[in-house]
This record gives sequence, C-alpha cells and structure tokens, in this order.
Amino acid sequence: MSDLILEFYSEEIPSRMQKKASIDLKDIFKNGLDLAGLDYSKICTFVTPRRLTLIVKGLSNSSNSYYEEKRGPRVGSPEKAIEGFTRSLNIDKSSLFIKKEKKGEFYFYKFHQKGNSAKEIIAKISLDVITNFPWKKSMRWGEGNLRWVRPLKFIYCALFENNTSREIIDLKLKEISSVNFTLGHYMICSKKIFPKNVSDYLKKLNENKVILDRDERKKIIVNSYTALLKDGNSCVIDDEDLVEEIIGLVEWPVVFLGYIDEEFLSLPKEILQVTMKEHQKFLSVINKETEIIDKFIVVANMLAEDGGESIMNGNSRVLRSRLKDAKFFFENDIKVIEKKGLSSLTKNLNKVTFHNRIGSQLDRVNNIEKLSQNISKLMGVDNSKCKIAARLCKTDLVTHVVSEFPELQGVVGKIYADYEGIDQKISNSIAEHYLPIKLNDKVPTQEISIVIALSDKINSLISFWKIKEKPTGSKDPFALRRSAIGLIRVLLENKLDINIGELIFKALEISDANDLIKFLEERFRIYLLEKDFDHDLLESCLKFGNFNNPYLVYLKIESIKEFKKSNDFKKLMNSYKRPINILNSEEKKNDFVLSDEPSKELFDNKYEKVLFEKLIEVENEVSELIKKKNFTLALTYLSTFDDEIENFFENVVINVDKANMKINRLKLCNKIRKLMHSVAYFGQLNF
Amino acid sequence: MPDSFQDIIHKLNDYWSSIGCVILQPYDLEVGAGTFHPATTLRALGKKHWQAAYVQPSRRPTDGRYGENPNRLQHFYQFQVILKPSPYEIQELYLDSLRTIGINFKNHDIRFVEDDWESPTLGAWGLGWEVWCDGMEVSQFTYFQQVGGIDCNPVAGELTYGLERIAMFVLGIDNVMDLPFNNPKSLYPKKYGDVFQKAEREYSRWNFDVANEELLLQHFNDYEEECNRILSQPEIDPQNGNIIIMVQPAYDYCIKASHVFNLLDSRGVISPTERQNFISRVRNLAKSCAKAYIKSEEG
Repeated sequence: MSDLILEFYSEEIPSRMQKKASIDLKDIFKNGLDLAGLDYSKICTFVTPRRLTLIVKGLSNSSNSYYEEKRGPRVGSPEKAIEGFTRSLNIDKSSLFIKKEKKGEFYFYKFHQKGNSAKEIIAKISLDVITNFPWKKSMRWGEGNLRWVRPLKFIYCALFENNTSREIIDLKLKEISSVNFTLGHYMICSKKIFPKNVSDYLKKLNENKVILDRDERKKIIVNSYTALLKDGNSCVIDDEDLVEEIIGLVEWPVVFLGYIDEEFLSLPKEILQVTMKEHQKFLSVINKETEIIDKFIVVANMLAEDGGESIMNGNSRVLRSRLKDAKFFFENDIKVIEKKGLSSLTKNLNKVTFHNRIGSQLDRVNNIEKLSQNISKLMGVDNSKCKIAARLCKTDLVTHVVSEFPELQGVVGKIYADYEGIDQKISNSIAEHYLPIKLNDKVPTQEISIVIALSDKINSLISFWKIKEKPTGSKDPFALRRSAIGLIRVLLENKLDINIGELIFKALEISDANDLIKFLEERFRIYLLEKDFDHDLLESCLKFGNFNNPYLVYLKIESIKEFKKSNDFKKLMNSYKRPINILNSEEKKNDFVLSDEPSKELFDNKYEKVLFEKLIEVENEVSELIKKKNFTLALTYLSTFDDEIENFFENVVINVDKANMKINRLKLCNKIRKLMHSVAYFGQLNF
Repeated sequence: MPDSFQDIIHKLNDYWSSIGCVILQPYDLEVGAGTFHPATTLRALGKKHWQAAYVQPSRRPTDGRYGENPNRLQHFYQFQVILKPSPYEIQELYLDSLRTIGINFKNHDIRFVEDDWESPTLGAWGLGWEVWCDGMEVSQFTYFQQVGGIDCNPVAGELTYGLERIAMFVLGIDNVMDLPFNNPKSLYPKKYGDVFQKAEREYSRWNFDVANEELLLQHFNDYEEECNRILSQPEIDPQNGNIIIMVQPAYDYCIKASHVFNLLDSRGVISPTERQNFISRVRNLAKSCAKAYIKSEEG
C-alpha cells in the first residue's frame, strides 16, 4: 500500500477557475485509476493560487493482471485471413480457440495481460492531465509548447510506501522538471519542503504559511472577521461569491478591519459596496442600527512584520481614491438630476447602442413604452404612470456612476429617482424591472414594476428573434434564456392571466413568433420539471401547443396535479378512455367527419339520450368554469358522467349496420372527446 | 529609497539594464500605451530573442481631468519591459525590480490577480495578471499569445509599470500633482504638477472640445491609406535591388491612425457602431504590419 502526493506548482491560477480545476483533477484521476484497475482507498484534491494538489491514499502497488481475448476471423474464413491473424500476433494456429457469438462462430486468442505498476499508471495519468487538462483558457509560455492556465513551474509527484520509503516519479517532460520538493508560501516562506509522508506534507505546508484546503481558508476568514466585529453593532454583508473569490487569492489569509472616511458615508450603500467589491475585493461591514456601511474587511495574503499597518494604510489609501472617484461621479450625476431631472437623460440614450442591428437604447425604451401601454391595459394598471416608468427605466445607463459600475444599472436609477422625489412605485420599477436576475431572486410584485419587467423582457425576446439572434447550445450572449425564464416567473408568481402569444404574434412574422413561443414553452417545461411537476402532466396541457398564456397553462397543470390524487380522477379517466378507444380504432379504419353535433332524431335508446343531455349540461358548466379559470371544479364536472357512460356502453351497440346511426353514436363519443380536450389531453397522463 | 519620480525611473532603468535589457528611449510618436512601441509590438513576433526596457509617455485623451483629479491624467508614463522568451524566473525578476525601488515585502502584500489583456486595435491578446501591492494596481503582467492576429512563439512576457501610481505608492503621496519630480533637496525642486498641470489643463480642453473633428477624420483616412500604400510597394527596392520591406514606416501610420481614433473618441463624435468599425480598420493595419514583419529578416 502506498500514498501519493501530486502537486502541480504554477504561477497564480485565476481565482474563478480554481474550484473547477480541483474537481476536474479529481475526476480525471478517478477515471484513470479505475480504467487502469488500480485500487485505492481515498482520493482528494486541493487548490490554492499557486498549486493544484492531488492526494491518493491506500494505493495498490500495481494493477491486477487479467486475461484479454482478441477476436479473429469468422470460422470458415479463407485460410489466408486466419494466417494473417496469427502472423500479426506472432502465434501458432493451434493456440486459437473457437467461441460462439451472436453473429456466429469466431476464432479467438486468449492471452495474459500483466498488471502495471502504480508508478507507471500514475505517470501516465499525470501526463494526460498536463496535456489535456480542461482549463477554460490556457496559454503557452517561454519557448515551450505545453499549455497550462499560467506557467507551470514544476511537478512534485511522490509515492510514499508504508510511510517508510519515498519515491519521486519523474514524468520526463522536456519543459517541466519533476522535483523532490515543493515550496512554501511564495512571498514569505518560499523555501524548499521535503515531505516525509502525506500528513507531513500538510504539516510542513502549514508551517510555511500555506493552508491547502479552501474550506479551511474560508473558515479562518469568517472566524477572524466575526472575532474582529464581536463587540460592535456591525456585521459583514453576506457575499458568498466574493468570499469564494477571496479564498482563491490567498494561501495564508490574514484579516483586517478598516474604516471608511466620514466624507464618504453619505454615498448610497450600493455604490460603496460595489466600489469595494469590484475593485478591491473588500467585504462590506454594515452597522445594524444605522444601516450605514462604515467599515470594511481586507483579507491579506500574509502576516506582515509591522502587524499589517502598511498593508492597511495602502489599502485604505486606494479605497479613498476609489471612493473619491465614485463620489465625483455621484455628485456630477446629482447635479444633472437637480437641474434637469432624471427624465432629461432619456434622450441621451440614443447615443448608447442596444445592439447594432436593433438600435439604440432609446429605440429600446420606445418599444418598452409601447408594450407597457398594452400590458398595463390588460392588467388594469394606471397607464400614464407606466409610461413615465418606461421612459425612465434605462436612463441610468447614461449616468457617470453606471458607466463606471455597469452592475449597478437599475439600482442607481432608483436612487436618483428617489432623490428627485419621483413617485415611489415608479422609482422602484427602475430597479425592479431587471428582476429576477439570479435563480433565487424574487420577482417584482408591484404593479408598475411588473408591467415594466414584462415589457422589457418581451421586448428583448422579440427584438432578438426579429434579427434571428437566438441562443444556441451553450451560447446565449444576450441572456435571452434569463429573459424568458424571468418573463415566465413574473407571470406565474403574480398569477397574471395575460395572453403574451397575442403580443408576440403582433410583433413578429408567424414563423418567428411560433419559434419564440416554442422557446418560451421549452423554458417553462424546464422550470416546472425542476419544481417536481411530472412530464406527463406537462404533456397533457402542452402536447398540442397552445402556450399563449403561461399562467393559465400553469393553473391547469397545477389543478390536474391535485386532481390526480382524488377518486374523481379515476372516474374521469374511465369516462375518457372508452369513447376515445372506440374513436381511435374507428378513425383508423374510416374517414369520418365527426365534428358536428349528433342529431337527437337518430337516438333510439334512452341511455344515449340521457348521456347526450348530461353532456350538454356538463358542457355548459365546464365552459363557464374555464372562463372563470376554475379548472379544479371543471375537472370535477368532467368526472360526473361516468355512470351515464357506463350505461351507454353497456346498453348501446355502436357498431350497428345502419351507417347513419353508427356515425351518430360516434359523433356522441366525439362530443365527449371535445369536451374533455377543452380542458386537457388526458390521454397523455400516466394512469 | 528613491526620493523622486525621476529617481524611480533611473532605478528601474539601472535594474533592467543590469539584467541585460536593451534600454531604449520612448518612441517618438503619440501612443496610448507602451505596448505600441515597435520594440514590443513588432519584436514580440518572430523567432528572435529580445529583451528591452523603456519609458513610454502614453496618451489617453478621454482620461483628461484638467489636472484636477488626484489619479487621472490624459498624459502619463509607463515603464515597459519586454522579455522574449519569457524567462522561467520572470516573476522573481519583476519582484526584485520592486525591491530596487523600495518596496519591502516583509510589510507589503503582493498579489497577482487575474487580468487578461486584449488590445482590439492591435489584434493582440495575452494572459496574465494585474499586480497588486496592498490593494493598489502597480503593474500589468502579460504573456503575449497573439499580436496582429499572429501566434507568438516564443512567447514574450510583458511588464508594464504605471509609473505615477507606483511613485505615489513608494513616496506616500496622495495626489499625483504633489509627486516630487526631481530631488526635493535640489536648488529648484519641482513637483509633478509644476511640470505637467498646465499641459493637462490645456490638453483636456483641446481633447474634449476643440480638436478639429473634420481634420482628424481626414487624417485617419490619410494615415490608413498611407500605411496600406507603404505595404503594397514591391519588396525589392529599385534603387539598389535589395529586398526592403518597410514595416516600421508602415507601422508608424498604424500608430498614428490609432491615436487619431482615440482623439475622435474623446471628442464624443464616434457612435458605438462606428467605433467598432474604426477599431477594426486600425486592427487591419496592425495585422498587415505584423504579416509584413514576419516576412522581413527580423521576423
């Protein structure tokens, strides 16, 4: 048994790529070891800015030997073919045997394949890692032709047998040496380390200021800032992405607390937070009482001799100059707002391109405005307010602050609108109409925000469909999938009965419109499947298109999902199946026209009359209920004529000689089918 | 410890000279960054080894703030080092250069933060980092992968120091205009502002409001045409029968076109769609020059 340490030591790996790299390394090695048949007990990987490490414990010393069979020509093949086969293997014909397979009898040769040593297998997999590692972006350096994410300095590949002996595996690469040591922290303890075994490797790294484990670095950071803040009224604003990024920038995290200068405390907190995050990777600290961001957390990569004084001086100075810039931008914007108002910026949007084949942001706003007028009418929302909101919703794109921090779009517009004293609901819509952006974002719930959110999303989809710029595969440069899922969520979560199909057909040519609706339907399906709605349920309501009104479709699906659990569902399905089966088999044989109503005069049996009358009654009820969107009750009504159906099929023969009577009865069945399908295609349901 | 802006430049020159670099002087044309110097752009191409360092005044008309912003200038200095092929110990060489200008790593936090470099106008890109010292970006560190659309092989390592920023950090100054330019104990000590503030004001006004758009547009067209005309000349010089591919004269016009484009941009007369168009026109010039360079003896 032995343990393996494999370290790829390189110049700084970009933080955002580290986590994936450690997962990929693990997967590649797992597959490689499994494929080679080399047993092990545990495998794990680690990553820091400068190293990517794999540790395997309990490795066998070699893979098991095994037998391999090689298939030759078919029995009865020309002698030449058989001779060729034996010659290629350098064996005699007598060592072949015959085995029967599906396709016939073949000659086979069986031979013993020796196992490979762990060393050979590891070297082979390691070389594969170096040549084929799936970095998202990689580079060449110096005069070599190898590719890695940044220059690879050396490889430390050591096999420790029973904790007693150590063997360095030489990968024999021209460009990179295999060494018998690794290094400590690059800046402060960059001396050679010669580990004696796996735990000694971790220990020595730690002594030399390297914490190998991401989670441990994270824990240190969180614990340190919690300790620094324990006496005050402040807390760190949660920012998982930022913390993840920071742990990819340090091997030895040391946490400092800094204070923001008084003169910047009046800046809106979103601006403070983004300035500190984007440029400096500082975490924001907020005072829980005043809700002001007045402090920040810096994570350095070392403990300095002066206790961090220089580091904090430097960082504070940089922040000061950044905030001065931000304040300058903010105050310049405010001057414009005070003088001319936010609405004065709308016309400047003609200078900003939305997309060069679609037009400027002003064109975009004009389209959003038009749509908002339609949608507000459908929703019964004050359309003059929506008009104002639409014309303001993109104005912040031409402010200084958003030019500097594009990720603050919407938020800054709202801050300025509030400053100007614009109607709160309108100002909220400037920020909220972008929502939802991330998977877990809330959707807007205020009416004006909803109208603008829908208008913006529908407009983006329509505009890009018009120029045939649709997402393909993994490519979605204009985030149209996000717009689509956002649109659907806003409709569903606000229970909005809006026929978006109509808006789309009005704006696009038929084929593009159909294609866009299909795209929306696809997103809708994915969304509901994730929410544990079954495939058959979706099919029953979507099989034959009709995705113009997402909320209604959803409502129906949800009602059926509930209804499926009830006893009435069985009754409904019994009433559905028999007439449908008959129709299916008869329609296969003949070309009937069954669409018109059965005629009463042709009924000669009381059961068909009773069924007919019951159907008319149910039909009226159901069509009323559909109008009222009460699908649950409609479903219940569909389960109320199972007795009549039962009696009908027990007492009435459909396949009678008189053709007109037979057709009339089939028309009665068709009436049932039409009624049923007016709610859903129950045939699609698992039952 | 260095005592002034110019002292830092001297120390960097001395250091890189001791490493073996050719110490060049700034290129005598207006450029947006040290990368534009033919000692980087052109020499990064081809097989020949090359190590050089130089100061390059850089012009970014849109960054002008009338000399009133503590950090932004429309004219500033970059210190540029190009090492081809990129040496194994390039990071150590770089860190040593910081030591020589007085940065002590026992108390300062150095970080290499991912920052991939791309110059759409040069058709060039590379991978690397921005280097942070206590949270301040002090240099740009790039491994060139392509220039003028052509793969770099061997790969050159490029180091670009923002001289004003580094000087402010090393000398502990908050406003660029307050940087001591020469030795503060000189008979006539001068600050950065004494040397440049007036020019910053003048250029800011000219860049933003006065530069003659029509003239600049005409220049752009002329420079583009001249660059192409130079490159379309027969390779054999009829005067003497020798092969002379006039890469650098042509590249001069590519640089000029690029600078005129920057001026037009700061005048705010280029719409976003036109912008793309201008950028791709300059890139085409850069690509033609790169191709010609590869054909010439140096390449």
